[in-house]
Amino acid sequence: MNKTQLLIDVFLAIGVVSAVISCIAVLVMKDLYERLHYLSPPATVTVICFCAAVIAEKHLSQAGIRAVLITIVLLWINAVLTHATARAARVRQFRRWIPDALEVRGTNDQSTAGLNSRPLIDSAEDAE
Amino acid sequence: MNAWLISATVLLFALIPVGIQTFKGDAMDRLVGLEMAGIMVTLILILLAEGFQRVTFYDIALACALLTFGSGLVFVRFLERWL
Repeated sequence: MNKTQLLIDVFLAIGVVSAVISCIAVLVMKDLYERLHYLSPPATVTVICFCAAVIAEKHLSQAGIRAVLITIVLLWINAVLTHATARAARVRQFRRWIPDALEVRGTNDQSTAGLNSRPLIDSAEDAE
Repeated sequence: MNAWLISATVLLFALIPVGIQTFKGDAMDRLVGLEMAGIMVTLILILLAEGFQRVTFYDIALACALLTFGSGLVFVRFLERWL
């Protein structure tokens, strides 16, 4: 096994371990907002490792350039999608995006999103 | 079977917990599972393209990444406004 092959194997191992842990964490975490954090490792660490492995094997050939392109796209969509999903979850939970001074969870709120991320003041009665 | 294909196989098994996630919880929890599955499938397609030495397979991975983005945004806007 030469050095290049060893480097490729190391990159692949790091990427696969990172992705597998994230997949399990998505299932195990209790809360939507906690789950959202685990979208990032596959779309950052793993894809960068795979891209590096492809470049190590093929250099900047057609395959290497396409791998770089996919990496850029995944890095970009991960940021946008995670933010959009968190925003949608918050709007569904609180019926608005912008927080106010006394942020309360409505009494008719049936959403299960963010049960571990409840605001400090849970109801207007508690605040009084 | 080379290292690329072995990695792709491991990631295929990693899709199982993501699949379970898409079948439980409320709509937003399921959507997170779907987005994760889209990213994972893109990664698997990269590995398969390199494992089978087919450069054109990278285009499928690129298309999958772009479609994951589009579908994710559509679902997010729909869930935010109407469901």
